[in-house]
Amino acid sequence: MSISIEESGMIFGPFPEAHVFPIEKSVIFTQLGKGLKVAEFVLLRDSAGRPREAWVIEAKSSAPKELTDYVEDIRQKFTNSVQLTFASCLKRHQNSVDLLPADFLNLDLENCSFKCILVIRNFPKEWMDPLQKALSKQMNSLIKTMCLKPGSVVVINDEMARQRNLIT
Amino acid sequence: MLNSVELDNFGPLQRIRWSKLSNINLIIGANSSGKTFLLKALYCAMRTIEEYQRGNEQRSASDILADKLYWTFQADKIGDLVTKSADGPLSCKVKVDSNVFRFGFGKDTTKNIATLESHVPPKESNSIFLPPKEVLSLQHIILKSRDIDKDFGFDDTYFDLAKALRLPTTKGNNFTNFVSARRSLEDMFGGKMEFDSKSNRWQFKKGNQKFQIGATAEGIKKIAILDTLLGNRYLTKDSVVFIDEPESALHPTAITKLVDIIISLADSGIQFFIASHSYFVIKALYLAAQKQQMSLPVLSSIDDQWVANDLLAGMPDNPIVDESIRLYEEEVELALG
Repeated sequence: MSISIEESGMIFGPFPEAHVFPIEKSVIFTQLGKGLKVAEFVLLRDSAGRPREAWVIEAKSSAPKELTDYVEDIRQKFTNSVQLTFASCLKRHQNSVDLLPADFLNLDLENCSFKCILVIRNFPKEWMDPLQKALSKQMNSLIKTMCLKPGSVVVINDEMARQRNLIT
Repeated sequence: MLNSVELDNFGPLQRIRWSKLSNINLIIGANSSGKTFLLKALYCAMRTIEEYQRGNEQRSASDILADKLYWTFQADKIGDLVTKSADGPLSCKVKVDSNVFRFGFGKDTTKNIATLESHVPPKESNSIFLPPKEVLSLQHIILKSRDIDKDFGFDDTYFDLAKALRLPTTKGNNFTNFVSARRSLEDMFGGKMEFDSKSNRWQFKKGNQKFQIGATAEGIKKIAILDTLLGNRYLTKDSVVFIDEPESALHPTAITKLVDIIISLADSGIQFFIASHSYFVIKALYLAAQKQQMSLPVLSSIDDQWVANDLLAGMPDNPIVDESIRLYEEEVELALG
């Protein structure tokens, strides 16, 4: 079984269902109540010569109008998503076993690299590097406390996402 | 002010057409693309116009220009400045205050410039060239090397600057923008450079403390040059300032502050030509053009062609921005594969 996710005018996938944790729509998240923000989904990614990685994907259809608020919003989503995925994989949430895709339950949390990827539709390349720098700086506390590797916060546009088979 | 430039067969600059110049003008390009060459060519033209008929100067404009080209480019003969592969002669035509100044000569020229035509009335202003490196610590060496030994090594851009810095600071009313620019320049490093006539050396004064030139940071010395030229009135509202790589020895935050000061001085009338390959300089000038809705012509060297744009219309395609994008893409490739 495969799954596709439509967000911000982009269709992500298709991905094997066992590799996708649709975090924003999952009961694990919705049962927490209002007031929390998370990213769209978490994707387990296998690449030749690299250990399995977990990509936290947030999709946007617009460029920041006000950078500070925009970056803070994304930071909250990524931070909550990484923490919630870890907690779910560790079965800290009730019914995690029933709600989490099989591959997440067996995820090697000790060695799995987590990457937070913001995909913005129609975003010019020359604007992405400064935004990536601003977001990385804002996410420094999560990067440090979770011991995320360098390059774990990435900003790309739909064209670059397509090159990596993230969207169709 | 310089209104337009037309160069043909001028060293590495085979053909340049740059018009509608503004108070701040930017030249960008890779190493050895000819940015400095262009700045020096314009500097020679401006200094010739300024020196001609000044005081008791007896030399003809051709003689002044020949000397200026010889000592600025330090070629064995000025004919060596003609593009090697060119069939035709070197030619330069600039418009200054809407008046034409043009000259040209061939490869065999040793000293006598074949054609020179100037319709620019005598000017009282002084233009200056600020090289990438500071000159305060080398000032006496530059002066000795050129004044006494008459050696090649320090070209006329260094020699003229070293002489200009010799003028003492003048007290009394200065232009408002110059005063605030000097204050901003001095605030950048919390002090100012002063010439100590007893020791015959420059020193950095911060509060009650004094530091010898050798113990003073490169960036401070560089900023101090502009401060001194404003303070000793060498620069006036009609001056043209050619700055080669303003970014050298300066931290990005200092670059931004310097750009702010340049904008304020340009607002008072000084014209600037800036050659740079710094992303920070280009970005700061681009933002200034957008914020103030001012024309900021930019001449970019792309694949051996010079292309004229205006930062007011947007950031032009250029290798500096391309390289920042390439590095970003390399980072993404490393992160995501």
